Amino acid sequence: MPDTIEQALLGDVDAVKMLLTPSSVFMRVDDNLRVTTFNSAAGVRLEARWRAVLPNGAIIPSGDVHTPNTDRSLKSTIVLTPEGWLLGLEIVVAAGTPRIGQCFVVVEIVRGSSGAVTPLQTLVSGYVSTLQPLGFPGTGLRPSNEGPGVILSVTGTNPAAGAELSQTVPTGARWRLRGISAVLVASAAVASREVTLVIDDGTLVLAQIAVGSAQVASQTVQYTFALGVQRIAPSATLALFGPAPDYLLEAGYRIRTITTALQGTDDWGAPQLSVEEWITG
Amino acid sequence: MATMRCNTCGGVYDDVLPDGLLYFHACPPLSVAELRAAIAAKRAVLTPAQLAELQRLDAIAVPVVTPENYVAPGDVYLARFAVARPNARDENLAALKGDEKPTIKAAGAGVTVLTP
Repeated sequence: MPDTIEQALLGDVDAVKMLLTPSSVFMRVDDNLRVTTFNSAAGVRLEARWRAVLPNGAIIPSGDVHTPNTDRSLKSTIVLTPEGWLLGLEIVVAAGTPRIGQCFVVVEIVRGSSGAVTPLQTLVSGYVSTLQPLGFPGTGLRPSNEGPGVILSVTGTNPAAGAELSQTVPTGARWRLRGISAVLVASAAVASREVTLVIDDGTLVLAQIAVGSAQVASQTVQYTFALGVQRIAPSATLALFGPAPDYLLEAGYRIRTITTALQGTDDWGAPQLSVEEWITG
Repeated sequence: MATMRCNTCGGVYDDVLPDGLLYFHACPPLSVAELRAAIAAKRAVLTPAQLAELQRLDAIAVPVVTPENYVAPGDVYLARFAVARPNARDENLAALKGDEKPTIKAAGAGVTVLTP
């Protein structure tokens, strides 16, 4: 290695290039890129596009395809790179329409090309969308729970007659419940039903909010629990409202109802939930 | 997008929502009505102490003048329990390590495809 540029200029071109490194990211022949995604959107396909300077001075572009899973589980693709300096890369959406909060990407330099590769450096991490690619250098390292999440409308399970509503936060997700709404059709059985919304962590109750009004036989009532809503005394018992707690709910937490005096022939309809979601690995 | 019925709890759901989001069904805990049915069928869903307390509460006479929003003390007591449904199905993915293929937490009694 020459000690000075003057020495290098008297030497070979490659030595000059080693002093005037175009990038701080030098990839050895056995170094590669690894693209890892955690994704919930359907039909997504990403492209990893990059440029590199080879030791002979040639600048080459390349692109590779990565298809994420759709169940928020990890999916990795090794992108083979030549020896040289990585000038930059970007991750763009080639198919599908993921929104911010749905497709989280991590790009690393790893040593090896298959099996148990060794991660060496994280280049970029963050959500990608059709409007917002990720870039290195530039984007930096962003955690998956930073910023606003994606707003989702989730139709829950329509329970059988006599069963309660219950919705579990899926694996790999963090939710903020914005609202839940469902209809309870009371049978002709005489009873005073009172609905309570329960938030638990799968075991322990974190919040319990009663709507505070009874539903009697043969009534059909739409219940809505939402952020910013106050419980009000109903003037007509066709719609009842209650507040929803502003909690962040991790995977496995549950949003469910307890209906005192629920009869075996009473029937809850499918709940509709409005949630804000972030990916959590 | 298929419509399924869980063979454990009878709940009906779509495996893929209209916007393409995957839906993962998990059976709800037993409701008060289902708990009473299980107790009547002598299935062990409560401990002996809990059963004794339920019997004590059920024995409390209904007021002569019943308030409009009266709920039997036994039902109030049962509503406090979140008893897991026997052979519950949980389609949420088990915790993953590395690139393992995802598996669901519990298959339960399986599903019936109502609409493929």
